[in-house]
Amino acid sequence: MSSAVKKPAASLAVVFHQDIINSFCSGLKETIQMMGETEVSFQKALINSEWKTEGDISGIIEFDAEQFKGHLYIHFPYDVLVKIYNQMVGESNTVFTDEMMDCIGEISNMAYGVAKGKLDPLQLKFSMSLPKVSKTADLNRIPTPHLAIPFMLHQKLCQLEITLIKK
Amino acid sequence: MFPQDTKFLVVDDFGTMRKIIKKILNELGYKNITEAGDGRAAMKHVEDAAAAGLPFQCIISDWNMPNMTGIEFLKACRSNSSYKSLPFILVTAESEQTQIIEAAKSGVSDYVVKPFNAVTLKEKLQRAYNKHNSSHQKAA
Repeated sequence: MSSAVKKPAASLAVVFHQDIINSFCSGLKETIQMMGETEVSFQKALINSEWKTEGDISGIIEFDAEQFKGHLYIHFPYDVLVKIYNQMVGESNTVFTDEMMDCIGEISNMAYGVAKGKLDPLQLKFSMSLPKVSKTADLNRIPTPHLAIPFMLHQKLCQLEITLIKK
Repeated sequence: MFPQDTKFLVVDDFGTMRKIIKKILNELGYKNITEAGDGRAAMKHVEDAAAAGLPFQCIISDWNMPNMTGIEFLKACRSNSSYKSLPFILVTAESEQTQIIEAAKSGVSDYVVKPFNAVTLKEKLQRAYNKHNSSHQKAA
């Protein structure tokens, strides 16, 4: 397998699995480009030992696979989410409303579904999971090293974060 | 293709996805669209519309929903002689072969994997229409 597995210093078996990370990134990129007709530009990934998330609203997928478990977080500023929502549903909103909360849930769900489809043939069987949506400030902090991948959308910084723990 | 006055039922627990599908249907010229938030509510719409003599002519439903899933809703429609030939398109984030086979065995007209765009949905509508139109012609 072409995956690179690396263990950082941590008591839990945290891993950074190249195939899984690439699939999550591709899933998010394909989803936003297809549904939001907007380019996603990923930046250099960082390994965060502390929580330093930027964003206003987050989509969360808690996933489980035979070999791994973890979380996928996607964080957006309010104004970026308004633009994506408008593009997706054909409206012209100028401010974030509660109605837009489930938009990020849908994006997270689709991104994870695309990633899952890419990982299945690699014998990495992930189960489907219902997305959750939260204000970024209200998220529980993750006490383990995790991967943060910033990306630009509508000239604003957004963030994808992945925690992956080997069972 | 489905005529412009076709009566659609769009079913999804996410309001955003219902709006996306409705937007695409509007762009294709369809205006007679009813929405439901899960399979159970959708089944009630189907029964009420049929009882009123104005049955739905195409259903586009999500798979993963609370109360009654899309596949359960499809099976409920197919088990009723009044709705068994109703064009029914399932929308899902899953592309697993086992799920596609289950949908096919349950009588789905076509299957859309998310994310999708207007071109994809239009193709699926065309295929569903052709499938039901040709089967009706054969039956006639």
